[in-house]
Amino acid sequence: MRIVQVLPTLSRGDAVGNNCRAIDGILREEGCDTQIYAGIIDQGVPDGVAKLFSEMGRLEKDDILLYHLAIAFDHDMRNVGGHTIFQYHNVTPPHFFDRYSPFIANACRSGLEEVRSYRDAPEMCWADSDFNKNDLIEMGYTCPIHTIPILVPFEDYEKPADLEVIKRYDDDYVNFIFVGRVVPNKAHEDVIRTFAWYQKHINRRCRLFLVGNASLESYVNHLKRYIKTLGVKNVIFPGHISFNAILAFYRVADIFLCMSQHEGFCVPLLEAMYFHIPIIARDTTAIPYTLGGAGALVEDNDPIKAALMADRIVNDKALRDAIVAGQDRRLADFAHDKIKEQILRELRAFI
Amino acid sequence: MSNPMEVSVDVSKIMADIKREIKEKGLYDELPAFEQVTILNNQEINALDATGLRNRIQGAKANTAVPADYPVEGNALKRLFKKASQKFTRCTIGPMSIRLTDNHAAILDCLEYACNVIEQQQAQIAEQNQKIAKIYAALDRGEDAE
Repeated sequence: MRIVQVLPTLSRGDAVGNNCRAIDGILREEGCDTQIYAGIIDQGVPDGVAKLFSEMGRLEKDDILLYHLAIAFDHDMRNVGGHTIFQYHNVTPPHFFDRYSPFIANACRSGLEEVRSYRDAPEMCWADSDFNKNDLIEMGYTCPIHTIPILVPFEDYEKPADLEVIKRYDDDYVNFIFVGRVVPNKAHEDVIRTFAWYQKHINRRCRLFLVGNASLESYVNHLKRYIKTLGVKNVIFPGHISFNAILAFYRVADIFLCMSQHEGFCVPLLEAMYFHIPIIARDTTAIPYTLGGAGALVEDNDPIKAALMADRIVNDKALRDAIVAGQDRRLADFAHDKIKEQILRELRAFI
Repeated sequence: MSNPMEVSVDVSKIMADIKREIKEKGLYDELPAFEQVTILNNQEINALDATGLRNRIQGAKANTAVPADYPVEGNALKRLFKKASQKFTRCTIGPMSIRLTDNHAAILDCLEYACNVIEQQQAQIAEQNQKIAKIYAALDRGEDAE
């Protein structure tokens, strides 16, 4: 019996790819015969980690296929054989991209159509969050659906942080951070707006780090024009940076501010918990599920409420400590061993 | 001293305090909305392409020449007077009009050169956009778990 994982693209550093590799790691630890197959293997992925999907061939009757469902893949997963488990990572609603990239909007549309069309295909589904689980149920999935969070390799966060970044920004300024691809569903404009209100009315000595892939130029340009219009200072897009530099930005941050309108899980929330950064986040989609009562949720994108919440957290050490303590407790739910055990338990149903 | 791990926090109570503070102090959001900030969408950008510039250059070419003579109007006496004036001033106006005509032609030549550069760059951008779209397609197949 083999366990094969399939995903359209295996990239270095993205949540789905990391999760897939982490599952591969625990299956190998357990002595399973396992292999990752991907439609495209990114150049940054070390040799031998995965094989091309075209090499996979048909699965045996007792093999298990774990397909990572995130965006359209031009191969039909209904005809590969074996037991089928889909892990649903959510697809961003296309309307977010209509204004900035019709191409990505169409890719998201195709992805959603694919998810809908597969509703009778899997024997079991795994969803990263209860939000994703509900999404599948709404789309007509009737198979058993288990919420299994993304397996995050926390040991990587112990790697050395970039000292240059720390030296530059570790001072008496209040450092806000948001981490994630610069894409419209993550509503960077609301993060900037909240920061602008904070800078104008509460404390001028502050910075905002918007860490993440900023390659969607049309959206980034709109944000930059907005920053200019607001007259807000110290908004920093570090651009494409090393993992050590990302760690350094986390280490100098005082507030993690997430105003996303759509998230399927939001791994950076766990990262902020890991680095003991108090989180202020918008109460939408998967965010409340991932936070599980930790952090400070804001009900809408009103910049005043979020800015005043940030002010209280920054100036009230007891409040800050209490929020961080709550986040620490929540982070324990995402411990590697806990999720590993859950994954193995679900797989045993097919063995 | 209490152990911070044992302290729980009621964020909803803090939020209620914040809402009260906003109301009492009359705080309001005066910042311009993101939607108010205009961006050039793809269609608008396409409207500002080299074709528009080339059309304008063609229009300007029709008026490049600045003739020393111009049609005279009016009654016979006025026309005679204007014609005589043109003849008497041709020695000064003539060279000026030639230089102006040459100058206009040189400017249009520069604009045409700029137009060629823009067209060339637009072609390169279109090529790069195609490559970017392919990269996005590859990335987004694997990157959509947020």
